[in-house]
Amino acid sequence: MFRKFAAAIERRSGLNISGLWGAFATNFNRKAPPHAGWSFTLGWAIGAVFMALCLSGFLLLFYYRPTPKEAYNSVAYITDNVHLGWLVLQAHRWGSHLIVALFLLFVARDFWLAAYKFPRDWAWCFSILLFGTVLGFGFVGRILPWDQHAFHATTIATEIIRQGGGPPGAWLCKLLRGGELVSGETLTRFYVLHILFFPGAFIGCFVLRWLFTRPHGISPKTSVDEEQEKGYEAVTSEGRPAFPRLFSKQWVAVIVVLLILLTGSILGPIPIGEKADPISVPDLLKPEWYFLPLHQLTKYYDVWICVVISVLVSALVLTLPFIDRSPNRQPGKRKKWMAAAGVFLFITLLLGVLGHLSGRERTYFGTKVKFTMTGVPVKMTDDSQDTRGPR
Amino acid sequence: MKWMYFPICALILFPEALTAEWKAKTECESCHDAEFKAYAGSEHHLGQTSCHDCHGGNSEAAKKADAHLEDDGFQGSFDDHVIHCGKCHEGIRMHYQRSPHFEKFDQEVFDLLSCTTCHKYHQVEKTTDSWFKTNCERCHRSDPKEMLVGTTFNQIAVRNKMKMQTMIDDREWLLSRGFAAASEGKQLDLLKTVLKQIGPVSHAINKEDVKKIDGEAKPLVDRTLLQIESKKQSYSRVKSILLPVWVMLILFSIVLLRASGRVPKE
Repeated sequence: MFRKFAAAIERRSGLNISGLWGAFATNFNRKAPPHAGWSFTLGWAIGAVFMALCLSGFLLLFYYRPTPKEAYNSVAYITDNVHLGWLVLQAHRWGSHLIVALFLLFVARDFWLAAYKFPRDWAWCFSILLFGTVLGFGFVGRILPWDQHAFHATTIATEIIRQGGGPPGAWLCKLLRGGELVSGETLTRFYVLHILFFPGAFIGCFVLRWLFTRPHGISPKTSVDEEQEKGYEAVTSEGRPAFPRLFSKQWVAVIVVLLILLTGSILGPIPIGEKADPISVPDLLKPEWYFLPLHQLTKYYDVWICVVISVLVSALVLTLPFIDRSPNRQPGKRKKWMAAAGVFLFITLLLGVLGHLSGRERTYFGTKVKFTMTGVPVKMTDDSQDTRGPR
Repeated sequence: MKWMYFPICALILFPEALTAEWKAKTECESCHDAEFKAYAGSEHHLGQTSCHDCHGGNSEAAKKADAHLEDDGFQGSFDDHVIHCGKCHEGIRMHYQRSPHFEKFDQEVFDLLSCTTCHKYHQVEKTTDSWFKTNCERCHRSDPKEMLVGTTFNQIAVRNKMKMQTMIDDREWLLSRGFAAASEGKQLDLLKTVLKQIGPVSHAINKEDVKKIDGEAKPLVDRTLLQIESKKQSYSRVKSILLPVWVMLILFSIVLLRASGRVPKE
């Protein structure tokens, strides 16, 4: 049936449909290395979450209105009046967090297995660009509900670009905001970026990444030279074909991730705050968790230093395959890089935890502690209690 | 132990320091024990309204005759509580005199529906929502079958206030479940302004007001509660399918994994 249909298309359009099918079939029938287990289901999981985000976003578009007057009310209408609107919105919000978390694992896995080395170096670059578009999605999407937190968090985020980026930063900030301040212009721009630019960029990067990985298969554990000399088939001779073992694992991962998405949306919904009020600033303003380390860093150093650091780190990650040119793939033989990554991970996690705790009150073993904005714990006495407290 | 000399000397020199306050309060109590017990802890007591403020006379006099001199403005009981209480509660008296309670007020049958019918003589209580409920429901039962007299303004106010509290609690719950609950917020604000008009709830019992405010508040409250209920239902319905979905898909996954694991190596 399918072949007949494909042949009919081929005869009329001249396209090589069976060739495309063959490309997929090669992937499934080729042997995967023995270590290709559950960690190689992450890509599918990301794809599933992305599809869920597309679907929920598509449904939200029917009711959402990107103007400052109507945005919040339309979101309220979605949660309060539209049938199962609250679930769709929560799935979209949960998906946005889940996809970032999965991508971090994905990049960490590729780094651990040195899957970024030749001939998969360009594919790594596209993975990182893909990750960039995911972060971009989150950055521009956060303002859309037009609630207090969204408005002021976007103000701070664009302010960081303006203060730390020098003249190009000021220009970029003005371009993003559509003026001197965050306003309705910003909302429209971010909306267009969210529903048009970033989806296009994501799909583009995804297709390119697929094209650049497809001929090479899953990265083996052997060194680059060995893979080049002996060939992929020889180094993966102990493995099994990706179909059906890895294939079914990937589907199970899809199921589990979608279940997590559904469960999170129902049992742990992310509340929508009050409507944006440009004049009153909320007491405790924090970005999304994946921007927390950078936000915390701006409290210790000048903003320009933080911008330079984040640009340098992003550039390093993006061009990693061209900097680390050793042929070894075994983690034990790349001790310097592993140590560097460990230090980076530790600092990022520390900054993230400090950022999460800063400005909040906590009780440890009966002692009330308040964390300052730089994350230093201060013991609280009863009369020093801040009546405003965290949000 | 030198520090003890100071209070002892002070007591010898000024013994009234210890007794003056006690005396002023307890000269009346020495005979009117039951009345004083009722008065202690009442709203008048807390507001420092003394026996003298209502009854006149000399509450510090040691002898009975001296305490109850009519020249000191002493009055033991009152024929007309409305006028007497109205001396201090002027605004409330005016509200009361416009109400149906005042129409039922009968001089012949002593104080049938005057101030003291609800507020009592000495143990004047704070008028909370629960106070209204118990006192009004002595005549105006909430169950229509037991109804002695028609629904009162108070009952409506209390009912609306209690419903409002439920609405506030429910709205908090909805917000924590990811609903914006914006319409409920609007309704609540509206309702708050409506309920603000109630003023001195117990006395402005005016049939027109009752109809007006009940006409505004009741549909608002009922509609909002209905909306909240439908949202809660929608949420719990979705929540109830969560476990079956988990079980089904996890079982499917296990079957899939086992089946694919059986495929031979080559």
